[in-house]
Amino acid sequence: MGYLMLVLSPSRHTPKSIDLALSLVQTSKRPLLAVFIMDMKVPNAISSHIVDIGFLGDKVSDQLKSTIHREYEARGRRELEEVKERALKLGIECETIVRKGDFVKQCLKIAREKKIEDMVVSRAERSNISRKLFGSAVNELLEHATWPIMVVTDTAIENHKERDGGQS
Amino acid sequence: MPKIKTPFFILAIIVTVFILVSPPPEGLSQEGQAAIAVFAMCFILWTTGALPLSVTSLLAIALLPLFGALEARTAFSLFGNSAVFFILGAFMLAAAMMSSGLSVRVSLLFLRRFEGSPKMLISGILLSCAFMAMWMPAHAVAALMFPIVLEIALALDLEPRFSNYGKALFLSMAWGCVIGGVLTLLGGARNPLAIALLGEKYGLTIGFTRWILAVFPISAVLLVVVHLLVFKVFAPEIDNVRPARELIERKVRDLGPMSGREKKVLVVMLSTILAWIFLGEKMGLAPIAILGSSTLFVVGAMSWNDVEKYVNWGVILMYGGAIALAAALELTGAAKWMVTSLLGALPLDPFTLIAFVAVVSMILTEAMSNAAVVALVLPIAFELGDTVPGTSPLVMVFAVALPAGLAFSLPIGTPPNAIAYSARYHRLRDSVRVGVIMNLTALTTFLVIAKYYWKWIGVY
Repeated sequence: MGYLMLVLSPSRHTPKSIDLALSLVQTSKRPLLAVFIMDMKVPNAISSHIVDIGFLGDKVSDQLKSTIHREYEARGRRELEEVKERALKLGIECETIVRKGDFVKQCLKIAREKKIEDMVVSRAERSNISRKLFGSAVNELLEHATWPIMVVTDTAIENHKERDGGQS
Repeated sequence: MPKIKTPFFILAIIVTVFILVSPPPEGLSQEGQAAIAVFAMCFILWTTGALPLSVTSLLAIALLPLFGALEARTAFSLFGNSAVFFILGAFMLAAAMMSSGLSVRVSLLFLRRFEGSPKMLISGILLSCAFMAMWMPAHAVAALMFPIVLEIALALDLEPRFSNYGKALFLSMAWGCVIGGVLTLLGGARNPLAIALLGEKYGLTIGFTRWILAVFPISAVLLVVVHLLVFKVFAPEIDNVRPARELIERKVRDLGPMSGREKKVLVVMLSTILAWIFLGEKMGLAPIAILGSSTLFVVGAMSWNDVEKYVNWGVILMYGGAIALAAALELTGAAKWMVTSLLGALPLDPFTLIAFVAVVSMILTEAMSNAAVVALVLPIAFELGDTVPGTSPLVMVFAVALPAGLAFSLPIGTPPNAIAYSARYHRLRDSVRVGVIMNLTALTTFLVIAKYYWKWIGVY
């Protein structure tokens, strides 16, 4: 039986997605792969914001970026530790990974490396117009993935079972 | 490599060329048309961020003589405006405060006085950020306070995205910087830029003390409102901040006694501020800023290496270019033409005009750099003011520069908001929900102060 991959990131996290992933692997008796992606797009943008708009030197922006990086990494490890602890209590095998990089690329890379069966990912509530206008990493992931993905928001769970574009 | 937003860059070129090759409309000279073409290009590039702000400014200074809007000698001489050197001196003083560690020490000592309860701690963060942003760029204050606030959030075991107290902490940090940044000429370079544009057109100025006197009530009201609002909307889930208190105490202990270098920077900084207050009107702000920052080298409190690490030289290009663009709009009559032909039909009285300009500036600043807002809006606002009898250009400076500095809603509005957002303790909708209320409060307070207080203290 392949992994169910639970994806968390600093901006994509709901307690509901963790609950869902744990209940799914418990029912299907599969191992859980809990992944935290440190997406540095926002910190990088802020860092250049400080230099280009704030006109502060590289030292300030580098210090800020490394503070954010350390915080994201520590947060990722903490969150994954909590997930692992809960999984072990339920008798579920759980592997954890913290990766730095682009959210979509890293998700796809790990999923292929680990030959996962399906995925649980969360995202913030936003309108479709906003997603079209400003882009959506989760939509991009849905486009590229070839496995079922459950997308969890604060109020709903979308089950993208068919990977050829269908949605149930 | 930073991404260049090609479609916006192409749009800027198309619009600029279109304006240049069109026959000049009635009442507009060829030079004026060229100035408007450069203005349109800057507007698109500054708004979309298709190029770094300073590169856009640099382009403006090159294109103004190339298109025939200004003589090359005039365009390049505007880089030497005293405001540019005041801003440079202020950035160098801030660099000394950061590199010596004095800024962190002052912030922590300030914060230590407010660590008793959750409410007190929020007040402390808000006030220490506001206080620091009065003396150094608000962006720098947000960057230096960010790790401290992050450690406080960790010490209090606040859950990112879900903790109300975490949201209150980071929003207070950002908004403290924003509010403190408008209070003096040091918190944001847009303020000296606005005064420079006032000087270029009218030969008038606003002194260091006069600025603080005019703006103080607005900052005071906003600080109180932020404090009340943040607690109302994000009711804290904790009632004990002991771990944060211990953290701050430990950090203060770790700093040890004040170093000789910190003492030197402190003395130079205080002397410079006193000189701005008491001698600013007589000597000018820029010579004092340059003397102050040069003294840091003389007493061995700063090396050139520190300046290189803490100051981005784009600051000179940005503000020099912005002043040149504004001067071109004024000298060629382009600003006057835009106002009379595009906005001349508006039946405005002085107060409505102030409100109109303030609203436009406040909306624009949520989407673009506040210095760019001043550079683009103030020349037009001056011309508008000239068409409405009873409107003082001094009020126009405040009507543009203050709202341009008061970005509360979006992370893109100003670096302090973006820095706070990067911690991910609050979501975009949290800052927008409360930020819009802050924007409306800021606007209302500004209008009330403009109508009654400024008349009373003789701003106009």
